[in-house]
Amino acid sequence: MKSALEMHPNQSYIIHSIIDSPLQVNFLEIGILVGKRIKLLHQAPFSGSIAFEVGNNMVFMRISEAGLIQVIPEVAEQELELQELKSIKSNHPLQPS
Amino acid sequence: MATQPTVQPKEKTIAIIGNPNVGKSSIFNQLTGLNQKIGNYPGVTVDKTLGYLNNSGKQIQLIDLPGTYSIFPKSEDELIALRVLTGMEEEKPDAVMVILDACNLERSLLLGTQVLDLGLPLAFVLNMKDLAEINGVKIKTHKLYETLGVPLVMTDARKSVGMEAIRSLVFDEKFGKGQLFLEITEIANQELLEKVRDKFGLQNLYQAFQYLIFADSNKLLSSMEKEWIEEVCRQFHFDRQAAQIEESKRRYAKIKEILKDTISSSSAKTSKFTKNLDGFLLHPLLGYLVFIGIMLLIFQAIFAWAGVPMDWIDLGFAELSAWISSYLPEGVLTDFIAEGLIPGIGGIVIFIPQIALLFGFLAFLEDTGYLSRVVFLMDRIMRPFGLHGKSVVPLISGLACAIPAVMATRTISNTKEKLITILVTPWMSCSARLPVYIIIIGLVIPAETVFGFNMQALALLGMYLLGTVATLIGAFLLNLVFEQKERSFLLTELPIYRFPRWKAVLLTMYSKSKVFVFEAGKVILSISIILWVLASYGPPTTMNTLEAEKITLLEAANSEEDATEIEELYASKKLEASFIGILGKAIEPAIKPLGYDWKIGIALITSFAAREVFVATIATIYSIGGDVDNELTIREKLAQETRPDTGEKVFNLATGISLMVFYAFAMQCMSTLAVVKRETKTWKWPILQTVVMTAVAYMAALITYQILV
Repeated sequence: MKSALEMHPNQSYIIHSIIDSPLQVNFLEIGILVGKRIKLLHQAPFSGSIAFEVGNNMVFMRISEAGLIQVIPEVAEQELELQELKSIKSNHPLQPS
Repeated sequence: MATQPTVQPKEKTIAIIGNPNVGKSSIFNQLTGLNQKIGNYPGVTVDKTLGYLNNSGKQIQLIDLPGTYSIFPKSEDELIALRVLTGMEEEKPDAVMVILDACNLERSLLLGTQVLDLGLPLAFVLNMKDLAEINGVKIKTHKLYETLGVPLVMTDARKSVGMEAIRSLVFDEKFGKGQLFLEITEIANQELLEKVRDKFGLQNLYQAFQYLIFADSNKLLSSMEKEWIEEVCRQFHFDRQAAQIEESKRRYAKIKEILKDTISSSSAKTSKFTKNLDGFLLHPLLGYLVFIGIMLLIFQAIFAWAGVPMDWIDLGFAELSAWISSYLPEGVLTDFIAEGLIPGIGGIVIFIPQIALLFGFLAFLEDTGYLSRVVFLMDRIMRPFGLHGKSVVPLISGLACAIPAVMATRTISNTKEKLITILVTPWMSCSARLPVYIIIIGLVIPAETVFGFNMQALALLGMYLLGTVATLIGAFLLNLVFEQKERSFLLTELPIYRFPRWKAVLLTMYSKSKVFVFEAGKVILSISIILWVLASYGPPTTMNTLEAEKITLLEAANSEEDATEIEELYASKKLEASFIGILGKAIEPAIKPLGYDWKIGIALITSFAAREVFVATIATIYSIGGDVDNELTIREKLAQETRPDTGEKVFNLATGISLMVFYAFAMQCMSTLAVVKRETKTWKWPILQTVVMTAVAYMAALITYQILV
C-alpha cells in the first residue's frame, strides 16, 4: 500500500483507504471512494496540482490532499484476491488434500 | 435576464438542482430562453436565477439552484440549495427536478437521493446519456425508473433533445414522491430526530437530520435555538461530522447496489479527446504557454474588435449631438440634450462592445471546460501570494468587471484566501478602465508597429500587466499580515472538454451587457446630468459679468473669425467660472504634481463614483460651449486641448501615462465597494480598500509623472 503521491503515471491502482481528516466528506462527495480505480494523469510543475482519473471521472487536488489517499496497484489487488480465493479453497473441508 | 416575464399569475414553482458541470444551466436556458431574471437571496450574494415557462395561459416559475454535490451546507451555494428545498426561503418549491449525469450516476444519485428523502415531489432528468454510451456506460433506464420510483426523463441538453419531455413533465405535473431511500434513524437517534422535527415543525426525520447538521450556519435560527440544538446534540452524543460521513457512505452503498442492476460500465473510460487535449493544455511547459497565448489573444482581440464598433458609437453620438443642436430651437433644453444627455448616454453605450466581448470570452472559456484547467495550472503559482487556484477565476473575471469577480470568490471556501482575493481583485484591470486607457493610449502612444506588434496594443497589455502585478504584490503583502485560521485545500473536478454552446455564450454577453447598461448606466447618466448642470452654471455675478463682457466684445468684433474666437474664449472662461470649474480649481494644487489640470481634476472627482464616468465627464466638459456643429470625436477634442499658460498639449506622454497609472490603482467604483461590503459583511474592508488603493494611486502617478516629465 502506498500514497497516491507515489503512483506511477498511467498505471491503474485501487483506492484502499483514505486517511482520516476533515476532508473525508469532500472526498466522498466528489466520488473518491474506497475500491475505485485511480490513475495519475498530470502534475503541475514545482509540486503543483495533481490530476487523477477516479472511476470514469477526472479530479485534481494539491499534494497535501493526494497524500491522504492510500492505494494499491490494481494488479496487486487482483493477485491478492486470487490468493485469498486460493487460501479459501485450500482450507475448504471438501478440498482434496 | 432579459425580457421581463409576461404578467400572468404564477402557478407553480419548480427548483432545478444538480452537480456542477451536469448541464443544469443548459437545460434551464433551453427551457426558459430569454425569459429569465436574476434576483437575490436575502443575506447572501448567491444569484437567484429565475426563469419562466408559459403554456396556454399557465406560467411555471423555474429556480436554477447553484451546482452542488450534496445538500449538506458547506458553502453558501449549498446553503441556498437547502434553504430553497426546505422552504426556509420565501416559499417551498412545488416540485424539484434533479439533473443526473449519465456519465457519473453514482455521484449524481448521492445528491438525487438526498433530495428524494427531503420528501418533495420530484423527477429525475438523466442528461448526457448519449455521451455515457459513447464512453461505454449502458444504462437500463426503465429498470432505474422502477427502482427509484419517480419519473425519469432522458435529455441531451446540448443538442436540445428531451426538452419537450421536460415541458410535458412540468405542465402535466407528473412529479412524484418516491419512497424513502435511506432510513436515517439507522444513523441518528430517532428520539433526537423527532425532537428536532417537532420543535421546528419539520415534515420528516430527514429534514430534521439536515437541520442538525446545518444548525451552525443557519442564519434563520436564533442563538437560543442554536443553543438548544447544541444541547440536544450533546445529550444524544450526536457527532455531526461522523454522522455526515456515515450518511454519505451508506447512501453510496445503496446506490452501488442499485447501479449493479441498472448499469453496465465495464469499459467505462473518460473521453479520449479530453485526455489528448489535456496532454497538451496541462503540459508543465506548453500548458502555461498556451494559457499566456490565450490571454494575449483575448487582449489583442478586444483591442482590435472592440475598437471598430467603439469608433462608430463615438462618431454616431457626436453626429447626433450636432444634428440635435442644429435642428432643435436654441435654448437651455437643446443645450442640455446636445451637451449633457447625448454625450452622457454615449459614454455608457461605448462600453458595450468591450463588456460583451470580455464576458463572451470568459463564458466561452468556462463553457469549454478550460477555466478548470486554469485553476489546475495556477494553484501552485497563486499559493505563495496567499491566493487559491480558484482565485484565478475571480481575478480573470476582474478583467471584465470587479463586481461579478468579487461575487465569484464565494467558491473559495477558505476565509483568508477569500478575503485576500476580494481585497486585491479591484486592481485587476476591469473593463471600465479600458476606455480610459484606449482614449489616452490613442492620444499619447504612436500607432506604430514594433517587431510586428502594435505599439498601442503593447501599451494596453502593459497596463493590464501593471494591474496584475499590483494584484499579486498586494496579495503577497496581505498574506504576511493576515492569519491563517483554517486548512486550505483544493479538491475539484476536471470536466471533459465540450464544444461551446454559442447560444449560451451569446446569452451571457447579452445579459451582462444589459446589467451593465441598466445598473452602471443609471449612475453614469445621473452623474453626466449633474455634471452638465454644474458645468453650465456658476455664481450668477461672475457669469453675468462674463456674459456682458462677451457681448461688448462681440459688438466690437470686425469679422466673423474674430467673433468665433471671442465665443471660444468666453466659453472656456465660463467653464472655468462654473461650479465645476471652481471645484476642479480647488483640487488643482494637489493634482498639479501629477501633471493634471483642473479639467482632468473634475474627471477624477466624478470617477470616484465609477471609472467609466471619466469618458462621459471629459465628453461633457469638452462639449460644453464648444462648437457642436463641428463633429469632432472626444479623442480629437482631447488631442487639440492645450495648456493656456504654456501652449503645450495637455495630453502629453507624461500626463497620459500618469493618468493611466492613477486609474490603474485607484479605487473608483461605488458598486464594487457595495459588493465588497455585502461579501465581507462589514464597512471596514471597503473603507480600507478605498484609502489604501487611492493613496497608492496618488504616489504611483506622482512618481510616474516626475520621472517622465
